[in-house]
Amino acid sequence: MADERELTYIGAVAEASRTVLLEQENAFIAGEDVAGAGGVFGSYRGILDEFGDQRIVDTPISEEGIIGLGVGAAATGLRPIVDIMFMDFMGECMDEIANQMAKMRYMFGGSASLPITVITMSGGGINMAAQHSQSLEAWICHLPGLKVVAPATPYDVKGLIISASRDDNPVFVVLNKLSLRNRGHVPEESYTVPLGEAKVVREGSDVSIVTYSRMVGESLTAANTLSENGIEAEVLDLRSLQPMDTDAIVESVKKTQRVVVVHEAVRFGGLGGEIAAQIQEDAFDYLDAPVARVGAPFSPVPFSPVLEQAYIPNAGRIVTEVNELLNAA
Amino acid sequence: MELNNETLLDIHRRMVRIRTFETEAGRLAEAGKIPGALHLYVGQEAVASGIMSHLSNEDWITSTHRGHGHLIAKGGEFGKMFAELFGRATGYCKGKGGSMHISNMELGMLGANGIVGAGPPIAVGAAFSIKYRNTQNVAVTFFGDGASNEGSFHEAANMAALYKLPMLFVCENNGYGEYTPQANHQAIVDVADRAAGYGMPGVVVDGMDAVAVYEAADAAIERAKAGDGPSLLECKTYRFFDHVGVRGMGLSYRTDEELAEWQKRDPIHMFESRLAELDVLTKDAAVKVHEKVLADVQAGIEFAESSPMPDPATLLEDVYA
Amino acid sequence: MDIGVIANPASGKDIRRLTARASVFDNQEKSAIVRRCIAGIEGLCPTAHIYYYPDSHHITEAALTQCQMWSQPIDAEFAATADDSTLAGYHLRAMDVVISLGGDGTNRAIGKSLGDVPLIALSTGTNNAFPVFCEATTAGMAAALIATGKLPVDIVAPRTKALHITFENGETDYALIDVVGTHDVFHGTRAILDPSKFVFAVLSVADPSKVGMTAIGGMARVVTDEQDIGLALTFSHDHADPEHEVQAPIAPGMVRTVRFTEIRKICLGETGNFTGATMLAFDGERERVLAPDENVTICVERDGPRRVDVKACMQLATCPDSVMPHQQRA
Repeated sequence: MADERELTYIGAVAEASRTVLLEQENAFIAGEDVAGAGGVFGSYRGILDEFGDQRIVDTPISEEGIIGLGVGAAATGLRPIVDIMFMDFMGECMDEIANQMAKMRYMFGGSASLPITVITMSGGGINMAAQHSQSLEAWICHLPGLKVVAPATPYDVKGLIISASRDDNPVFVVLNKLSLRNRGHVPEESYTVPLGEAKVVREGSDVSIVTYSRMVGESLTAANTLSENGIEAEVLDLRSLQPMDTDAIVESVKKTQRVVVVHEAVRFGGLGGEIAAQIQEDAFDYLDAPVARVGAPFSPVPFSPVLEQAYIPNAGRIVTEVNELLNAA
Repeated sequence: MELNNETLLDIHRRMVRIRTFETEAGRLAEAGKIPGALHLYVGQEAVASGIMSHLSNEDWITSTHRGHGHLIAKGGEFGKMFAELFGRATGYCKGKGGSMHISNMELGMLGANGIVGAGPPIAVGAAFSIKYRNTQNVAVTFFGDGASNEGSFHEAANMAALYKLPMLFVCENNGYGEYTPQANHQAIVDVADRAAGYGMPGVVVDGMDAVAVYEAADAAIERAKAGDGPSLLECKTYRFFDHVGVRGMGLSYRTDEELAEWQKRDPIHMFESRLAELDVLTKDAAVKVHEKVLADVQAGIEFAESSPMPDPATLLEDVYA
Repeated sequence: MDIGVIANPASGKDIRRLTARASVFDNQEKSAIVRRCIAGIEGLCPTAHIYYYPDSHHITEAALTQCQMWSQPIDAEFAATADDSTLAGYHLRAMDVVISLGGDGTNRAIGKSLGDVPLIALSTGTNNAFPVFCEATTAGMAAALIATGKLPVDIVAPRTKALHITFENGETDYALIDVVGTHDVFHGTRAILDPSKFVFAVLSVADPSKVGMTAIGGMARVVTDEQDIGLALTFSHDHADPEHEVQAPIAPGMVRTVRFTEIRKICLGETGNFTGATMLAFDGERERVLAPDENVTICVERDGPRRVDVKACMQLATCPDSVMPHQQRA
């Protein structure tokens, strides 16, 4: 498929944003450095010139104000896309996320709709240290009323952002910093990737690797290594974390009887625990081994490249974990 | 907007509606008939009424934990309000919000709010929405002296002024952040002073004088609609009941003498005296207004009490659209 | 060597900041002004005693915290209302000089009770005709010079005029610059702004270089501080007689057409009778509700506060042979 059009992961953000603004007259983008600068990583390059400063709005560095702007604008009929540069900054706006955005519809007895898309970034690997490298998706997945997606590929970035923007609920699109320059096939036309639908990105029969975001790539690399030793791993990209495609997970477990859950977030209290619990609830009888988890150790993200490399899960650790799981069985 | 007799009577009626609803709600709460906590608005009626008499359903407001008065002044129906306080299925929020989250989107009321200071950023969003659509409306955020110490207020004030949003920041300074007197929670006395730091005008208004509030709101709304941006109105007022409930938790944080001093300036009594002097509303006619409103409140309570409780099967409805 | 200080926390905060872009005077600025005054006093007369009005916003108290001078709050029952300034003025009648921070309203309240004491009136209000804008440090130095008896009070602090109002029921009131009858019915935000509601006005000073009612009158006919006359105006809202029409700064940032049916001077002591208004405003603030046909009697007298001319103080202190403007009047 040599003629397939390719975009970078970050380029897919820009194209999705443009598509949303073209398709929805009530959609606008707001965030720090999004308009004049086009986004710190270029997520919104060209949007200001094409759509003008009413549709893309530079905000002060005021995360609580930004989320509040989104909540108020959404409740009163607009469809905001708000950008929280790094999800580490959610601490600055957690009230507006947790107590306002997530609950307003329910508290109001269903009379309010909050069609907000929050675009933010997670992950380490670029030496940004403890306050700019975290993977905090578990925080927001714990809040009823929010939806959360974490795309791994440029294709899913575009499709999930467009889906998020059309959804009448608040949806967090958690991007990954180290994936920004990754290239992949992205159709030019508008399309959606459904919220709540996982995707098998590699078929396998010996073990399921359930993962999302950048760890999808690491898992595929690990699967190739494992394949050289005759182990065929199935890699399931969750894509959506809330709602989570439990059916797809169970389906894969039934096929392989062994699971390793992989995420970049700290292992303790991470989504891996939730996924493991769901598997034992829904597919316990199919398991031939305990559910294994790969995640970051219980430590802040370190700065030094050597330490950071030791911290972030990678293909090697996934291979090790899979081998241990299979040997234990 | 000219202060004609019709407007004066309208403001009066809104104030009496709030006072009567809140007094009865307080009575029911003390009798143990309302679950949870009530933060009552008695004493502050002139603020909500003076502002809201300018607004239509297309103007948005955000409220506070002390939010019943704002919803009533915005046109809230007693029956649906009491039903919500009682946790009934017929309440404004189907019993899912209660006193601290009571709201009605059709009336442009974006909710009471249990989080101090959470409203101003949301009102910024509503004002942004108005500006985006280019309609002649405003967003009003009500907050207290206590909330003016929250970062959310400051972020919202900065953004509203930056974008010249059609917005009013209405600080109801009742002298206490919960139980802490203002002098113990901020070094300034006039919250209005904070406006200058954000590039908007701030004025001090007698919050016990409905006409003063009305006139200040008139000027601020005119500015907002002309594209001149937000204003901060600090209304000096007082809560006649406790922070929570009527007599509250019995904490000794203010004196009876202080309360009595403020009650001498009861916003409804002062307004009625002047309306009688002007022959706009005689004492007898005022009594009739009170009686009518009380009957409406009682009908509202009856509606609420005879309303069904929510079906537990509705528990998971409305989490998502 | 006793110096009084009255800083009014309520000035500079009313609706005119919305309607007319009037200046905002936050309380930190007022406190800084008092601090500079004190520095001026301390520089020339560190042993002076400061007696001050303990305002609810602690403006003066905050200014005194970093200062070594002897100071004491006025011992009286204050109620945090406009009457406080009058009460404070009463308690400061034995001072050598008093410094006030406020607008016309503040000084009117002080003027009711201060008697013969020289008054340095620093403007922190809105559209002020009575107080002056001047550097507070210098004002403090002028206060010190007066307190130490180094200056002739009659020359540096001449008496201003005042307006005396008598109501039908025998009550009286007092204003410094203007009394305006309007068609308003509520005190509301107190500020008078709408020329279409003006009925009549009596002015002690008509100064077109100021803003507000004194400027409206001053655009028609100038009456200086020194002249022993006042000005009576009746307003018109229908006919357009260009002879009786002015473009006047009715408030900061607001120039409006104002029309008169009559402009006449009144002599000191001459009483004028006025009727037809529903509200009476004193020095810019709606204060007194009138019955529909209630008649008010107003006259101008030269018995206002002794207002200190800070520039004259400093000039005379440096060059005792200087001749001051009001000396030329005589």
